[in-house]
Amino acid sequence: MNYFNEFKKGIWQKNPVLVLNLGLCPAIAVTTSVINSLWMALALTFVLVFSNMLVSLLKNFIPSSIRIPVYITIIATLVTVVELVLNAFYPGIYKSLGIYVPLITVNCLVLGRAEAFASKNGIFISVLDGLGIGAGFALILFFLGALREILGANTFFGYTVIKGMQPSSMMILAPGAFFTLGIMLWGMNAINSGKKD
Amino acid sequence: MRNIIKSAVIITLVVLFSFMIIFYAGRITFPYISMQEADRQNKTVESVLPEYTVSEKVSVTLDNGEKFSYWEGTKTVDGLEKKAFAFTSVIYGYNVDIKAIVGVDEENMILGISIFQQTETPGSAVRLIEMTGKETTRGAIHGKIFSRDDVTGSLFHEQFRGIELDKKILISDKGLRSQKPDNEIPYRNSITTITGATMSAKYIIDGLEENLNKLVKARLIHEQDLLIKQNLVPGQNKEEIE
Repeated sequence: MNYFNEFKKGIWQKNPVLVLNLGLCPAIAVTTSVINSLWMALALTFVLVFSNMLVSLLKNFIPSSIRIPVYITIIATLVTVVELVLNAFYPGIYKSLGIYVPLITVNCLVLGRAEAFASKNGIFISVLDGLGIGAGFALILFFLGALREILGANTFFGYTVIKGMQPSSMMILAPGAFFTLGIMLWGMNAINSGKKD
Repeated sequence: MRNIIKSAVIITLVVLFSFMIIFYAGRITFPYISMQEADRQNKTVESVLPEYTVSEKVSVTLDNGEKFSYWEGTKTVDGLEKKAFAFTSVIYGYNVDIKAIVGVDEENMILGISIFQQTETPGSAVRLIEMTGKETTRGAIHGKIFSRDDVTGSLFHEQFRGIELDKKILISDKGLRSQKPDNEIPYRNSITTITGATMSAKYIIDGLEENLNKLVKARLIHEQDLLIKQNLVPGQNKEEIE
């Protein structure tokens, strides 16, 4: 088994946002700035990696009839830890991300990887899968956040990009996220369909 | 049967393990979260008592055994010391818990109000903050979308400034905020509510009236306590109290 491929697939071939179309809710909601996007990606990657690890570790002990409640309990615990840590040490980020941190619990991406991958594979490979998917998610959120922040607020990481430029507020609002994500999805589909041909 | 018992045991163990992790994470983070909560509360108190220097937090046990706390602020006008008070107004309504900090002067006129915590079903009191805060389209257009904390300057809160709590507070217009001039609102001692949050506004008013009564009682008790401590009440002296 090629371990690097397992990691790499999450970034492009099975990119969670652009290919699997999972985790779209936080991708649209929190990408008003690059900082928010990166923190969201970090929080989700942490939960993804550890939930994959624990599910993989416990897979032989969990009866199939209760596997989903057990996965949810594991994910909810990890999300609570993330929430407490963010609230205690990064209150500004915690407030900016708002409800979308607790909502990681019910994110299809996390539960989907636990059910579809970690419950059928070993610990190391599951951790790599979590890292890869997390990196793919982070990459898309970074580009989405960067585009929206630059065009919508004329800033990048909070610093002014072009002095005197009037930003387009629409980019910061939900329609801006839909447009940007739509164009990215179109681009990804175009590339992938080109490859098939 | 065996499977059911096995499943029950496993899920119990997982839940216990989760509980332990959350418990320890909570224990580590609790002091930091409390510190921030206190800091936020202090900032809120300062914002509802503009121009006043907040000196101390007074905690008093009321006649019915209930504990009530308020903050005292002072400022000097023409050589005279003026006092103002801030208190927490917690309202438990129908599917609505709203926590607000209210600042009033010595004549019980509202100097500022800040609704800083609310839990409710979607579509009710959350609108008090959402619709008027800077997380709105209006806020975004004005370039203030990143400022999530500052909700004290919202239109809904602003209209409370100048309201006299000794008089009955009226709800003058239901629905969207009235276009009537702002200076008319204190004159009429009334507020306008927000569509979808009319009940929440009523709960806030009820909470204000209820907690103002507590403030008046608490101030009396505190002032009496001070007099006793300073040995100014006849028949009692410091030694007796100690």
